[in-house]
Amino acid sequence: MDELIIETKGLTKDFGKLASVKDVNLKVRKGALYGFLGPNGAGKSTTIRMLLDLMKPTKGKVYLFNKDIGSHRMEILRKVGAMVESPSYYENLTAYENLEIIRKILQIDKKEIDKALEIVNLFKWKNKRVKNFSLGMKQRLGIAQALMGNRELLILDEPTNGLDPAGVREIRNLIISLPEITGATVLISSHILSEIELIADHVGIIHRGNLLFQGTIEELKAKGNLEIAIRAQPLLEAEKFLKRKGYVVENREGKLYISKGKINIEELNKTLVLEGYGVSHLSENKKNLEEVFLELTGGIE
Amino acid sequence: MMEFYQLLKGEFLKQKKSFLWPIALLTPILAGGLSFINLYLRYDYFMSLEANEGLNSWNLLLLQHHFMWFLFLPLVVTIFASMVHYIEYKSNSWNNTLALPVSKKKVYLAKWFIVFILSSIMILTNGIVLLIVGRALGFPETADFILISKYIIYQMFAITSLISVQSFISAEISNTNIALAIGFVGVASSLFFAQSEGLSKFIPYAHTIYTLPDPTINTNIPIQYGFSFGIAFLLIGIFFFNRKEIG
Repeated sequence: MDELIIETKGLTKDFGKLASVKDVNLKVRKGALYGFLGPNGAGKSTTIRMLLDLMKPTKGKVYLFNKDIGSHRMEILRKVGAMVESPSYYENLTAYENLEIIRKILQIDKKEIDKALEIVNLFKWKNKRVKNFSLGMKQRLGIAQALMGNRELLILDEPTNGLDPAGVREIRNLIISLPEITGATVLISSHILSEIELIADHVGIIHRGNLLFQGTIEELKAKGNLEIAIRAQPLLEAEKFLKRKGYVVENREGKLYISKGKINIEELNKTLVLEGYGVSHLSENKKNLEEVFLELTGGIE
Repeated sequence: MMEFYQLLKGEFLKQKKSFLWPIALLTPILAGGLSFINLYLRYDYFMSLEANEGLNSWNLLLLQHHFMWFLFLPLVVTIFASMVHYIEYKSNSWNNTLALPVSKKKVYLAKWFIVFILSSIMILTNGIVLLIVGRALGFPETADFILISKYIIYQMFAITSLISVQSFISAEISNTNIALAIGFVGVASSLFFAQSEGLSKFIPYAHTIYTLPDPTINTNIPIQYGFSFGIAFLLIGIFFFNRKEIG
């Protein structure tokens, strides 16, 4: 279980003076459904392109299956199925013919085409021209292309981009089922936190090219420290009073927030009440995943 | 070799039902039709000209035909080279193609070859059309297969340089309109370069001008320069394509 399928060491990509990816050390374990999360323009696609040797890193190394992609490209890519940024297809051809091009290159059995089409639920439309496909169907065809030939690693870049809610759900369920059906390790990128939360068991958060967090979803949730929310009258004076007492206080949304740490809530309440403040609300809160994410990525810009 | 063959088959599949096939066949038919009308109306006039003294009917047909064909051919080859690359840019397919376990060199070569095959089909069709036109006009001489074969072979040498240059441009520049524009400007300006034979040697767009098998024309230009520029630019193209970053 501890075998690393993807490992990058100090991965960096500069475009001129602008660093798009900075010193990223990804670690994706075998069998993981890894969510690669970050706002638009954070460096997700650039990182993925470097994983697939579509771009050369300015600095750093990419290891897939413990081998350097730079020197073992062909051997590695045989085991990797990818959909980068948006699905690619030849629209004058049918779904079947699109997969046939890939089948020829991989030199695999014709049955693989039907198998991939079955998995993504496109079998019925295999002889239809892709020109007439909806975006969701094109997206599924893109995933089918990545599935061809028993790939051990699937890299799907924003597979739910541009889909309507029903389409998003369909693709999401498909992706969740992939490790079980194919036994592959899956890396999926997205800018939507809720998406990753529902799909992935591991997550890497990238922002402005920096990998800010990497671990399991549980570990990420655990980063949402407990905090104490207080509503007291008069609020501003209570804030000043608590600060004088040495607490680190944050005043937001009409409440005072103190990081939980080793604070005894009863003591805190007593201190406030005895000082004459009217305490109408006192609670222990845990930050939700969205707040953790926003905190990590520096909030809404 | 197997990998290259599969890639080439893939290229053919991508061009299934594409408009490149009709262009490859219809351009020579159209040009042949125009030559037919031209000679049908003016055969006797041309034969009576002092400048054409000593020419047989087949020489005359090729000479007249070549006036348009040396422009048609490079223009269409430019379109072929642009379109086989455009199909990858159009739907973000470079990412998909190059993330597959294929050698980039072979991907590039497969594209080069399909352009060469399409162009060769067009050149061969043109040869056949010329034979038909000659027969239809009822030339007194028997069909000059050697003359037409020479014309075909010289053209095939001449287009190698053009295919290599245009493939290189089309692969490097993602905007197909620019690649096409460069090709069209190149072909148009080849007329001016043709004023100097020395200069024409180094302009791939001008090589097709020198493919007419006629004693007054230096047909060594397509054979020597067309071919060697073809190889040189093919190698340059492969070198750059290998380093290409897909953004």
